[in-house]
Amino acid sequence: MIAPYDEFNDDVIDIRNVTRRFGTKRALDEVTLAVPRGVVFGLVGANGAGKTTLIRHVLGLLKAQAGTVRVFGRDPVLDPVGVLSRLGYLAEENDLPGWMRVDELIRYTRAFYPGWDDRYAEKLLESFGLAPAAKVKNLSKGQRARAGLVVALAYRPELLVLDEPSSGLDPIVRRDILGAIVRTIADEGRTVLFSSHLLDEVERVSDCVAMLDRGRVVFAGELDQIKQSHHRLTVRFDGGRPSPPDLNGVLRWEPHGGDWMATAQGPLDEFQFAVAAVGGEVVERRSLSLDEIFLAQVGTAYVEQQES
Amino acid sequence: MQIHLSTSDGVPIYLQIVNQVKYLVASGKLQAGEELPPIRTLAERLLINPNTVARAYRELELAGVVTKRRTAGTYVSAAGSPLARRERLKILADRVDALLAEARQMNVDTETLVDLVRQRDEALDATTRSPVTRKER
Amino acid sequence: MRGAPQAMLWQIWRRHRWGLSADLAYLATAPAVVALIPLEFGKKPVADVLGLVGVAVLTHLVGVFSYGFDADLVKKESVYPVRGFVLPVSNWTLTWPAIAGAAAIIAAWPLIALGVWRPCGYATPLWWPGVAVTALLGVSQALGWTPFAHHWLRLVLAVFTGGAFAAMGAIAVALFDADERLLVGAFATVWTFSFVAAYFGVGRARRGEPVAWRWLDRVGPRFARNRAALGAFRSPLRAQLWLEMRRHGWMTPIFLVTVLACVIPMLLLPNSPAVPAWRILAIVAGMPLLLAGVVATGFGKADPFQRGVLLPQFMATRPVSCGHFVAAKMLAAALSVLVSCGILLAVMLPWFFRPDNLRSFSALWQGVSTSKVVAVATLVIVYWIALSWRQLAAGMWVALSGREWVGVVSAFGFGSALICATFAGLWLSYHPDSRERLAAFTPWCLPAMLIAKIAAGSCCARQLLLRRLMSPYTVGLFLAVWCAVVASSCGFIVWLTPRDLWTRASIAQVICGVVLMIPFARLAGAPLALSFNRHR
Repeated sequence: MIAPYDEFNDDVIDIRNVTRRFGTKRALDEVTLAVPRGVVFGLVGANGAGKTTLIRHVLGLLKAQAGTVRVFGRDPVLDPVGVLSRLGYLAEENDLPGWMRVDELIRYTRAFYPGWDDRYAEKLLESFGLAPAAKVKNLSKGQRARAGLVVALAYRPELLVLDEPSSGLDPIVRRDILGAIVRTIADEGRTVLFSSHLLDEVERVSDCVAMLDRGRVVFAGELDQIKQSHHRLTVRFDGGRPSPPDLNGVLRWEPHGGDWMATAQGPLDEFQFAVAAVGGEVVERRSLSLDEIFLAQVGTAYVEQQES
Repeated sequence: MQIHLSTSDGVPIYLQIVNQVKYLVASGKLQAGEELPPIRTLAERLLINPNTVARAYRELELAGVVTKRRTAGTYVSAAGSPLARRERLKILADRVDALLAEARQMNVDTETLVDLVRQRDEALDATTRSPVTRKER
Repeated sequence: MRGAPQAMLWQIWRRHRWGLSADLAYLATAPAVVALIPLEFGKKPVADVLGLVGVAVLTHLVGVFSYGFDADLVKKESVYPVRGFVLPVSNWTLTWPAIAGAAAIIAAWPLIALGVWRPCGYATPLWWPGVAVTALLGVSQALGWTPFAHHWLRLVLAVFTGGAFAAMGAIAVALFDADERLLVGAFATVWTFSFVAAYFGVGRARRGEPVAWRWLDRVGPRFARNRAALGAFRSPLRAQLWLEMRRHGWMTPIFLVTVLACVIPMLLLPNSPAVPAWRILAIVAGMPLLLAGVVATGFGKADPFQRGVLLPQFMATRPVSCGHFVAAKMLAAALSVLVSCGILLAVMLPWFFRPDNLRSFSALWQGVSTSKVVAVATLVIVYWIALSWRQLAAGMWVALSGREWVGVVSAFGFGSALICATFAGLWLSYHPDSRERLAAFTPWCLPAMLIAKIAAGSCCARQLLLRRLMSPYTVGLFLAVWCAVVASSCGFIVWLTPRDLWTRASIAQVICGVVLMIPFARLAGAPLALSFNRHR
């Protein structure tokens, strides 16, 4: 369907060692990330972790100060047209020109994309209940997000980039946006990159997840693997312990009755050995939701920072 | 087919689908030969990644609960019924385990628990029998 | 505790304490400075400068007391600070800045007139200019504080009242010889009316009841329905051009028509011998240049009504190259200028061929062959249009760069250059002997500026090619067009000047001047500036 890329590999987005400073603050610190074709890639992290900065690098709105960014094998700064014409973008601070009417917005936008699907746009407008004669600035926030979604989807872009698409929106609009992601990915070969701090959304639709914390990638990989490598374990020590042992891979200890509850990262059997070595026993294992993993990872980092 | 997903308890979504389909088959709400919704439809309805649905269906196929027919479409397999009783018991065993764990934490011994189960069963029988009209309606 | 009116004034003081302190410092020191300068040094240049600063002080006071610094004219909403509306005070108290501002200005003017202008030998009137500025303050308060339902309505009313003001001043000076009592009375009446308007405007803003022309809502959709039926754009460039025309392109023509509406009645009057016809023509012909200069400040932005110069993400993520983006802007500027100049020509041609005007004009070209007159007239019109376009296009890079500081630096640079030039001009007019010394510098200055310009231009062209913002073909085409314009302009000037003025030096100076006047780097820099903005 699409010719193979001329550079690097078949990853749709390939970010290598990208560093970005704003003044003295490091917004991105040696970030390396690859988004393979055909996946939904969720970008999670606290506010100010660098999600938006990363996405703006993908769009070419920011120039990498160090490292390389390739989208479809091209540099989005040197070849904005080549990248942007194959990409759909919707952001939280959706700044569609307010003076345009919805039909004018459609007419204007469709001129840029040869693959624009009029019937699909029509269908989306109808299902979202967007009146063609309404001015964009008079639309509610949710309707504006939907209008943005129409102009980001109607040409069936190969890559859909959504930056905090649903924050501050009501559940019905959020459903529409998630539905758009699901529908996009159901079309063969399309890729979605989206950032969100609504982690249940990310967990629902993502194949892969990367977590950013203060400009660094904490982990990145397939959601299943991430979930399998994080555990919440109840550990019982003979005769109890006043304080938990210092074990590799434990992100956080919490007292739990007479036992200790560990949030751990890494292979389970290794951890069981380690616990046995200090005279303990894993009595229960439970997998974590992405929310809990996020809290454990970022929360720990916070404690470390306080100590140091 | 009613499926409810929860992302708060850490159980992977595909596993939730697998468990719930098994439960639906076991409880007879899904009959043998009935068609499951296509992957894309279910994904859009549940707002989850289609790959997740596909994985759940694959697992269900491996477990023999459903069969894929060549003309596309996934059906509850006829072999589902003999498996049903075992599945049912397995699901109940999970619930009983949870109940026992809770009872232990509250210092209630198993004898008292079993008595309680009996009591509740009688009470339930009484309530379901008396308002017959409600059932018919 | 202080009362509510004092609290209102204290807020204004708190917000503008530095500016107001500077104003007070000026009022306190300027008369002293004037008094201290010995007479033989020549007080007139001092009065020119200090007096102008005095006018600036009055303008500043107008801005302060009308809350004009915190808002823009094109906003629909009232510029009155919203926090005032939730205070437990009456509308009357909220209108207090109107009275305080009027008092401040009426008190300040005699100080400036008596302290600065009069000691320097100007017979400056003592009251009416102050009252006129007060009336201006009243009008800006009335216009600014009243909320409107359409965002251009305030602009239109402002242009009309501005025209009325100018007409009032002109009539007073021409017909009544600037009679002090009459002018004070007239402007005080204007102030009284606008004070009442400002009072009701605050009330409307507080109630959230904007002034609306409802019939527009019935007319508007009728036009809009036709617009929806238009077909698809043939290319991205056309779509972008449509956007630029809708946002910027119609600004200059609309502005021009509004101003013309004020001017046309004056054109219908018979000419007075005091104002020759050619001067009127020059003023009217200067209008598109002036208005384009005003519109140009917003032309580089994505939306002239937007605050700040940041390129919206929606625009930045359209798959258009920076070159095409700028090309659409330049084309829109050209269309806009063509429309404006066309309108003006259509209005002025009947006036031009009115018998009395034609007679006075034909006196100007007595003894010149008709063909030459026609050729010159055509060329002048072409250059007039091109110059108007230049007004719009050459400054685009400032806002396109998306950095506030570029605007500040360039405005500061332009302003200081203007001040230096004013000083130099004044100096030269009072010291004729230094003119020759300056003339000696010209052969050195011009080539240096030329080299700087060529360096800037080639740097821009190189960057355009390096960053792949434009193809080598387009850059070459631009260079060729630029060279052609320079060559034809030089030819035009040489053709117009009498043969006996031609020397090698004068021709070289003309070429240097033309090369310096016709923008290259400022135009070629526009895509660069946009790229600088888009890829930060």
